[in-house]
Amino acid sequence: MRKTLLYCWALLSLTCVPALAGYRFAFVTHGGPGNPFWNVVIRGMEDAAARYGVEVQWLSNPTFSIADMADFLDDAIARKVDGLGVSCPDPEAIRPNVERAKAAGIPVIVLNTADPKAGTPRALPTLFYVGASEYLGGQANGRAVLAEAEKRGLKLERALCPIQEVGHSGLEARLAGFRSVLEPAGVAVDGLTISNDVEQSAGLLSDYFLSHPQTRAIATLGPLPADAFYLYADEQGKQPGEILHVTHDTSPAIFQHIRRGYTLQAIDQQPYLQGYLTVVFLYLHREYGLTLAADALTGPFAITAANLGSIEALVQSGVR
Amino acid sequence: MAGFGVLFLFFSLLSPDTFLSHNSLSSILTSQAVPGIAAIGITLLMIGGQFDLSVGSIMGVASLVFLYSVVQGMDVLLAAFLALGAGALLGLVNGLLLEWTGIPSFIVTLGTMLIYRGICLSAISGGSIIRYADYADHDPLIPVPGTSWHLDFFWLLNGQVEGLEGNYRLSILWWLLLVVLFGVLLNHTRFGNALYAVGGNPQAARAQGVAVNRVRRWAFVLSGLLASLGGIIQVARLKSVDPLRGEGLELEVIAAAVIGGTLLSGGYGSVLGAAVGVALTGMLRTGLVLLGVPANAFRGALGALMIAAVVINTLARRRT
Repeated sequence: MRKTLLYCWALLSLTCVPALAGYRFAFVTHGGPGNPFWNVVIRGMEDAAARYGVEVQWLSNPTFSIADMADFLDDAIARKVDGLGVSCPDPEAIRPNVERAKAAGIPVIVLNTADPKAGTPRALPTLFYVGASEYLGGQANGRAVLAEAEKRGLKLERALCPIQEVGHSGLEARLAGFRSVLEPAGVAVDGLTISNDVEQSAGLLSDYFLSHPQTRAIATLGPLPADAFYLYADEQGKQPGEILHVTHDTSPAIFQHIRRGYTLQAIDQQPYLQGYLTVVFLYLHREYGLTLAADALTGPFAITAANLGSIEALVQSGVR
Repeated sequence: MAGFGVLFLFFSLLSPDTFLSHNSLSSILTSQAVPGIAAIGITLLMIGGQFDLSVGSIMGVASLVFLYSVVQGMDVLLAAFLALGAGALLGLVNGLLLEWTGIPSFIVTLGTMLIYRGICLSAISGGSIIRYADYADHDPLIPVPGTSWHLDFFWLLNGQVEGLEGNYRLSILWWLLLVVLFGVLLNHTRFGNALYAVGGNPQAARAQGVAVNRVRRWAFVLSGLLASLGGIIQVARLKSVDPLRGEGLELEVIAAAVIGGTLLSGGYGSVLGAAVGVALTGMLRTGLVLLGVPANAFRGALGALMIAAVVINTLARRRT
């Protein structure tokens, strides 16, 4: 038994993040490793941590779980971290935890998904938001679809906007932004619940397009749903532009399909900045008491065939 | 219990300043109260020789029924009873399907897990989320009989205990009360004896006059009832429901029951053991977070712990 304990101790010593001189921060988010988008946020977080000599810990469940976010926040408070980066897909569910963090003197920065009540008396007690405006991003995609349809002389009747992480307020904002442009233009927007499972979601898209042949545009809300659309388009032999496609976030596959003409544009929120800047701002707040007077918007930034070349190199290095 | 002690000692030695704190203890207990309640039902079923993989989906449906009824203006107590009834009914459906088809419960409940999850996904269309705060600005109140007082129903189920350091919630109390209640049911009633008999050797139990099918049916109803109660208690904390609520819970609670000594083959186990198993998995998660290990390592550690528990249980059974 003693030997086993020693082995366990040695194993944990190897896997634990070494405590560097400086602060300990934690990120509690609704997504994480395994998702190409979050991998870039994590890369930004780790690069900033190395540069500023702080320890960071990523806490998330592989599947969307608000309950786990609340529990991880409790764990981080118990660990007496020096700062927290938190995403806010369901602010009310984590309100007691964020309030406890504030009471414990732990500064909280919201990243990636904003608190929808920010700026109101019901806002969470956080410093500010580092991330994109999801609503504006959705609108930008809506405008791109309408402009392309007009250019091609295409009469759009319906568009599809599948959602992969149900209950996620940021994705809802993207959908709402897309709707706010298309519906006044007379284009009905259908919602469809899919998942981050590419194969299953491609099947659902196939079923949808079979039953809605008049739908000629789709807005995907992340890289894995975009992969699902590409799988569907590939298996069904769809030609570039046969279904107008816009998406959010980036991945090598999305860039490839922008180049081939399948995707009009991708709304990038520069996830690297979200991870990097959150660490930097927490560090500066701890070290000097500095804070921003307003949110730090990292998007929307539209990637099209026109600017693809300059961005693609950064994707290879994991920065975009 | 020995494993619990070893793990407690391990984390206490490695993180003495954070692990042995109210913040840490309350995080473990609060996060495990709802899985703990669901694990009681799963343990009853496993003692009776059955599985219920639909327990997470039942929690999702019951949570949805409860909060949807409340935001539609139904009396909160009535909504809670409706949700409990829905959970019990879905459990009964599992039991009846098992009885009528003769298919193993693993397969039956795998099917109903998908069907019940389908109800959640269809009822909350397009990936939206039901948030109590969108409909009301204060928690629902229930009258105290014989007085003019009113009690906050959400607080009563899962409110934070004021005046204590850490995030201790009333859900912990309900969990412990249910452990005692079902411990008595299992060890001091005819139903409990019948359940052990049915799980150990159904033919012999039938020969002794035990109504095997009826006992199994009741075990499924109780499992559904406890999962729905857990769901209601979780809604009282998070104040929202998304279509994926409870997803993955089934494996977590089965793992906890096995770690707590319940045999996969039936006929052996205890509610107290399951509670220890649930607490142990919570301690493992919080302990690893406090050590600075990324959260994703938790699942791997849980898997290793479960295998170790089964090996120890098997060895212990061989000796007796």
